[in-house]
Amino acid sequence: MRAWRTLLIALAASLAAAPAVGANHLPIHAFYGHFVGIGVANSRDAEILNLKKRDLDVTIAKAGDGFSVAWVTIVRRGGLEQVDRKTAKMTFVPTASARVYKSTAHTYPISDLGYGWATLEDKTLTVYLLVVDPQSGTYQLHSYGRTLDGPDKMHLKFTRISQGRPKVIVEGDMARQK
Amino acid sequence: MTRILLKPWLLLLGMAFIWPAAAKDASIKAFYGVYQGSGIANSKDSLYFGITMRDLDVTIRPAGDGFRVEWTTVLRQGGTPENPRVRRKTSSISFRPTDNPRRFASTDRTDPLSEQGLSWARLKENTLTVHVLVISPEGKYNLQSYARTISGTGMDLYFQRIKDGGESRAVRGKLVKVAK
Repeated sequence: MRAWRTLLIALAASLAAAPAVGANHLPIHAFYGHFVGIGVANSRDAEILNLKKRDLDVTIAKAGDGFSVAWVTIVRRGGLEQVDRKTAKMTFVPTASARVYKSTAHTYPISDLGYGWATLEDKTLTVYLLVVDPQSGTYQLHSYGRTLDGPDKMHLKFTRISQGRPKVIVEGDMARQK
Repeated sequence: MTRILLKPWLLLLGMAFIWPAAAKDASIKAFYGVYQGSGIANSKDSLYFGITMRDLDVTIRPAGDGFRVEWTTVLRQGGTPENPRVRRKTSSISFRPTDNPRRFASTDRTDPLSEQGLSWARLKENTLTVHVLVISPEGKYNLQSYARTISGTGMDLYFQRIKDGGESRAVRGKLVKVAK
């Protein structure tokens, strides 16, 4: 009887300690690297202006206790002529939540830099940026979901919500550069 | 000839009366008061479970050099007509002025990673919009916006909640001013 009780207690303790089913999150270092590829914007404006194609370039690297994400997006008219180039870099540090990181520089939404945070779920690292226009008070919420599809392929899904309405969605695939 | 020359001036004069004046922002003081009313929620769930009615109370008062918004929502959803299931939720947020007269920062909700989240408010014409951003321990966001528009008789409310993954909810309500 005592042996059964000991076994049940041990089983309960092991169940409590075990991670939840499906909680198989990749470690952040799995995302470290340089990825390059092509994206396509799915918006009415992009279609009308023939600006659907984008060159995507992202570098994710260790930075102190956290990590940094630096990316370049080049918009090409008709997939050829470069009409816009945007670069951004954000550095994140861990928070009390194991899978949530906060930006070191983007710390207040009602500012030019906005408020940034990142989450790690399954195979996806998502970077969020909330920017509230200091003059009008209107907001934009950007999310960059980067999903690893195997060790060397990464899928990007970018969404921009403006005042409650999704405005731009860009999806693309990138390959790890060696 | 004189009649012909006068016509453009008359036209301009007429336009000055017809042309709408640039909308001015109301003072935050115009929102102070106690409002009561009801609203109808609309979400993906509403299609399956019916549109839900809710009672709404809002009080907006001066607080320090800013203001405080306190609101109570009484939600009746489920149960039976004789014995509906009732949920009551009260929230409040205090705001301080910023360097922009149309924008206010919360004094008590300043961290989006906390349970209370981070809040800010904006004033445009007759509408005071309060935004609340909460980031869950899993990193998922919940962004709520309460747009309160004052009118001669009271207030119109448009509430919108956007959650990570696209789930959203909207509530439209009408409230009457019952006290200053």
